[in-house]
Amino acid sequence: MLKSLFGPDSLTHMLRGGLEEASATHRAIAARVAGAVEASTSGDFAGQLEAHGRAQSSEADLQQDMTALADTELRYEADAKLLQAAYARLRSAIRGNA
Amino acid sequence: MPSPIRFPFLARPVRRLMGPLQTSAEGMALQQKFIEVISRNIANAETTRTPEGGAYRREVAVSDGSGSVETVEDARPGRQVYDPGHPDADANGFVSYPNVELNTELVDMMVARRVHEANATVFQSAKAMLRKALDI
Repeated sequence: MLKSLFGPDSLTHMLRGGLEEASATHRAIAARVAGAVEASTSGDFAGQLEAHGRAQSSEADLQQDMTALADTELRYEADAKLLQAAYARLRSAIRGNA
Repeated sequence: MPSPIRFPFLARPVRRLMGPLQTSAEGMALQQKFIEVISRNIANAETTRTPEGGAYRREVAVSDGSGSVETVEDARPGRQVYDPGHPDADANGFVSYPNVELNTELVDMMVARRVHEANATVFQSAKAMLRKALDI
């Protein structure tokens, strides 16, 4: 019975997995944003022309990362709320509350 | 570069939750360093005399990706301005000015500021997620 409540097929276990996944995604986004720009300048003029494409793609990546960040944060929040509700139901059942 | 925040005293799951906080703090410190170098360039944009001799040379901060920052000199020549009355003018009356272009520096500073803001947003998000985890 306990296995069905806390085992690998239980709701709480799935939600915990969701939290872990969101947390890992968040770590990856943080690492990408922290390393978005690796020099204080884009270099000389010829280098700037060459790097123009790179600068744009880096900007696009940053935008994508910030969108993914908002998405991950919401997913994490939803998982946390559902897990909180699941534990509250369990607690209620254990105590025998209506 | 300021030493990054470490959490050796925390248990592994908590350290993992704190990971994005540490990464974002390192990212912000990196951009801070970039802004320091850029502001030094702007402050010395008209410096024609340095203790090392000659005009100020523009500096560029480069990160190696591991958190350490190296400062290198920009090798491009500076502008030559004909001003025979200037105390640093050469025998032909030309003064060597630093190879600093204000427009470039200001654009670089805007980029550094935006990336700093992005890191701050990730930090806030990590903090909010930690708080949610504590509510479970």
